[in-house]
Amino acid sequence: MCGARHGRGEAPGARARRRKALTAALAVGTFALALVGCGGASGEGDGAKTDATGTTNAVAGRPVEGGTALIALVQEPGGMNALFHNQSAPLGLAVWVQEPLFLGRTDGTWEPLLAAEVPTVENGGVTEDGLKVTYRLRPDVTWSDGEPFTAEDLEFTYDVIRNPKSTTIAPTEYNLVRAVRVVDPQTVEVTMKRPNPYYLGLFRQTLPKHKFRSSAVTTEDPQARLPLGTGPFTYTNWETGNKIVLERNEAYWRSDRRPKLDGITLRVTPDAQTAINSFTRGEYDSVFFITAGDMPTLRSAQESGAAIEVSPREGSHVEWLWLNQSDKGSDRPHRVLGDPAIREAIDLAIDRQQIVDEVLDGLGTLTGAFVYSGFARVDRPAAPFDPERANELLDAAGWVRGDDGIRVKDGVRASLRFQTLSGDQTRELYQQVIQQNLEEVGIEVKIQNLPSNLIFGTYDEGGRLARGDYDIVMSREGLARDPIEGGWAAMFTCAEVPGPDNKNGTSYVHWCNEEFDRLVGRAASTLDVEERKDLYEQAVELFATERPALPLYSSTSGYTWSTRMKGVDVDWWDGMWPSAADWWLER
Amino acid sequence: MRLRTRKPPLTELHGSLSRDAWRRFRRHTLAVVALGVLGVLLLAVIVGPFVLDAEPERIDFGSKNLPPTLAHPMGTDELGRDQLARVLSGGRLTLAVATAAVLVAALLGVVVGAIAGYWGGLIDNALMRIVDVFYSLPSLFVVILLVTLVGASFGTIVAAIAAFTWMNTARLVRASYLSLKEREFVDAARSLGVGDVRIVVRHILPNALTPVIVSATLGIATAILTESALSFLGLGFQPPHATWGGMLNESRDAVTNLGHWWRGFFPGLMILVTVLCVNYVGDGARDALDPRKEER
Amino acid sequence: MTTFLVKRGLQAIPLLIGISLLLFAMLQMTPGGPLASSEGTGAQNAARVEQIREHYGLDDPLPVQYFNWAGGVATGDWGTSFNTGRPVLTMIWERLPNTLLLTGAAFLLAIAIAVPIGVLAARKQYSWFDYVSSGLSFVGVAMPSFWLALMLLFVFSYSLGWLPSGGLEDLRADHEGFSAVIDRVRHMILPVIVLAAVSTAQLARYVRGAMLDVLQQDYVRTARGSGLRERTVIVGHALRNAAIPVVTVAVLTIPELFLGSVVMETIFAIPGIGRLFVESANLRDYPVLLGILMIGAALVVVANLVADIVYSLLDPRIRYAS
Repeated sequence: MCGARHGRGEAPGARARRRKALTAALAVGTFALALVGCGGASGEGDGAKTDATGTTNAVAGRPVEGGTALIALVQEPGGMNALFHNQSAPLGLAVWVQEPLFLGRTDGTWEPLLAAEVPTVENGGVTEDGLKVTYRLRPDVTWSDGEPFTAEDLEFTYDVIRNPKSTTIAPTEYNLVRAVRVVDPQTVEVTMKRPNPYYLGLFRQTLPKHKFRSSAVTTEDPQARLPLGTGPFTYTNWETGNKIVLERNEAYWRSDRRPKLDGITLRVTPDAQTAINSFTRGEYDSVFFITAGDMPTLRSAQESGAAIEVSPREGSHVEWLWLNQSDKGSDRPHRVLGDPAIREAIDLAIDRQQIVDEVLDGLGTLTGAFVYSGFARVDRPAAPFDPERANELLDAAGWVRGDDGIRVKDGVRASLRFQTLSGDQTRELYQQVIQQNLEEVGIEVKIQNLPSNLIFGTYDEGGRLARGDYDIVMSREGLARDPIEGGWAAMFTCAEVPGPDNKNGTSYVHWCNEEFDRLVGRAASTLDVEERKDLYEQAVELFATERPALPLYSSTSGYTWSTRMKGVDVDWWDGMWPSAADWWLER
Repeated sequence: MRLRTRKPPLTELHGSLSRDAWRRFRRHTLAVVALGVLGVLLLAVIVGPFVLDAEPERIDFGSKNLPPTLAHPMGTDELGRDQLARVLSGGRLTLAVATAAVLVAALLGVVVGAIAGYWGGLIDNALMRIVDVFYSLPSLFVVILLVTLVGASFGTIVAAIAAFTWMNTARLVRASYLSLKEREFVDAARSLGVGDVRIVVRHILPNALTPVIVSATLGIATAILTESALSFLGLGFQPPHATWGGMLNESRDAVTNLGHWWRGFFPGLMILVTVLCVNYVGDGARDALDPRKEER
Repeated sequence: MTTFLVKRGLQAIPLLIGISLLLFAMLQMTPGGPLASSEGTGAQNAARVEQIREHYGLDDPLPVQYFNWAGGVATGDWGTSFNTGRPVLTMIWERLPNTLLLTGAAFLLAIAIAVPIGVLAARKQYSWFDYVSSGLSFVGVAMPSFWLALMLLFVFSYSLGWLPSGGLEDLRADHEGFSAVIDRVRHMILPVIVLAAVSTAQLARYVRGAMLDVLQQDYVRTARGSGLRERTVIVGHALRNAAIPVVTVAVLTIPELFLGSVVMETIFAIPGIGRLFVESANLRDYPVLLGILMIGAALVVVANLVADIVYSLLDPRIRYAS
């Protein structure tokens, strides 16, 4: 789910050359990390924090209790329950209210939060065959209304997710669950359909059984809008279009982590530009959330003296060019993109660094790996910018330039449609740069952007990706703690190629490679971490030479808060939000 | 043309009408000036891109975000493209869309109006209720919705604009047919055994077109403004093509946050001048073609 | 009079039914299905779409869906938003005040400026004032409102920093009483001016035309000839009669202003109906879209109705006839 934010969503990845080492982060932020929402592991251990702007303010002064933090909320979500709304706010801010069973630490290990221990094969929590996992809960956890948090709640949560009448948007990991059984109030036994290496990613959000009458829960339920949780804050009210109010959970079960703020108010602002301008003038304590496009404004405001802290986050979501491998969704290869020389030429002809420098103001990094984030992250450089080589490749492959400079082979013109979601101006700018880059090697590109539902629609709805009715589509995807998360790696397997008999197939590129299937399939069914890393590394190499999709750049987003707010700690994956219990306001 | 040679009386009527009309039109100094300006604009938009050194799509990061200078009279954008070249090629697209939308709307309006006016009765009633329904729709909302859902292309934009601008023409044409079908020349044709369709198309239509010309001229202005509003909301053409409204949309952030006023000023000015001229010409045409209103 | 009102009112009902049928059919015919699918959600989409389709009965036959929806509209249940799961009517009510405030203020401003200008221009036909005001109103009618907005923002917000660039209130919200009013007014100056500009120009032209018509009528000439003061003639006789067509046109500009608010609310980041519409269109939130479209259509129909009624009230001939 953490990798599934959309819209302005930008989520984690990893970046090797992070200045501060993990130690500094841990010294300050152990507690903050203990609240990490999604759990998970970042390969380089670089995720804990970035200290470019001095985030060590938790030790800079004596914390004061009281006060309310005012945070601008860009894009009001439909609801704040992350099980029902996969917009950025419910996902990113869930940690304040809806706590997970396990916390992913940045060094790749997991730590129990609502659970009493991390189940492993060694401690008997997981059976040898990996098919049965026993989750043991802490006995002292209570919901913020005082009711005890028990195994019944976990079972109920699974029932809701499973109920076809419910409208949950549950993580795909639940698809692997066969059954959930309550052993005793503090113990739940989960049977899997096959070994699930990502079993600690289950139950990131739990629903309080005592608040529901049946397991058919829809978005209309008040709990889907403002959920009851176990976290340090509780929702008190939501004035639509205006504000969402949270107060300190006075009955927070972790007595050592009493929140310092009286509460947090999220002020709904209709657009990011307005929110950021107001923030830099001191009207807010922070903004949820910051995208790559906002960073230049924040930087220049900081340089001209605004009392704000900015913590950039490199290596976030990768922008992909999906290269359709099928001829309009059939078994035949694509008439142009089916030729490996064309794919390689495109890879070499795009001046990625120029796009980052000139269009994105330097806010982006390059990667050449499809597993670019999470515990198995591979540090593979992007293809070099080499139009001469691209031209040579195309000449050698028999693509001859016509009178208009566009190449032709066997009567097929090297002309491709290039589509992304309409209405994104920054994307339109670099689309045009790519258009010019490719034209220089004799490949014609026609930009035909479309509304999201036409691109991402289901097979029955005639979605372009599902039907294979496109040439090149550009979208951001794949930020995951584990390539299993959200079905990212599995998306490129043969079984996911959509067709009349496989309407729910999730593959965009309609690519089928048996060796890739073997590597990814094995990695998804073994619990051995080192073996999995090795398998993914091989898969990355294969993917990068076959090129069913090309990474364009990895975006640099960030976090920002006012200097008067202290105690902020930034986690690479979940940002500043998990540290909210430690935030305090300088008087 | 064939009609004129075969029906001498009508030809004469037409000839003198258009001569009179032109004479009356010329008395409107402003309308004549406006027509001249439009002519120059049209020429610039059509020929300009060939004469101009700069290409509208040429990216040049070495000269991005430049204010107006001699080399770039309208400045450059964030990809270093020459704004003048873009304004000219954008103008071509703007005018093409507006003209196409007006033609489609006029055709639809004439067909509906002619059928309703000539045959009357139930058909007339049903068609006029449909006209009422379309009049009552919140047009801009529906156009926005159509383009958002279907995706922007020349066809969808033209169709969406035309779908909400044909009703006025339909009412005007219907009114003309209602009165013209009672005239002697129609009776005469009928007594000679000429079929209904032929009467509608060959005999009445030429006489019913005057109001259509005026409303179509003024319709171009509406179409330009509607298209610009759509493009301004980000629902316009695909890059690298942009109408004036689309260029305004691209310029929003640059103008209000970076102060690059030239990005928005020139495309908007072009819209204003064009719409203003079209309105003057339309007004002049109305007065010229409808002598009864001459005194006003 | 009553029968006339009732009859006119009843005519609106089949019209609204026709409109609702057309809108409903239109939404169903658009490609891609009624649910937004979004970037980066991968495998979750298909399952979610299925769930929502079933939950909202989107697989029922279309006539059944239409009657369910239309029946709901008639009884005050306008359905629930796909996105928020909240009642559509509630969502619209939350946003409507902002839009009404904006369009209402623009409407009053337009009338306050247009009527005196139109009257004066007509009284002094062919004077410099007439030429200047006519020229300006021609420019006003041709003005792309969003361009005016952009340029005003550049001058007053970016360059001079006098006025805020968007929103309806200063969000630090320390304002109370009088200062809150000032704050609100400061935020409304630019959007209201821009929204009113085009309508002012149109109305001024119309007032001038109507006044010229009336001033040439016999009774005005008689009144003038009989030595009545010019002021009495203009205000007491001419304006009163010119008001008939003017009021009609003025009432009909209200729906136009309402539509214009889409663009204004987008530029000035005002949380009103227009923004809700654009947001919902992007999310393909059909129940909300249908709701807003129906309100817009109803506004047009009611405005026409009111225009008719006002016309009949003001025009002595119709009053005598009934």
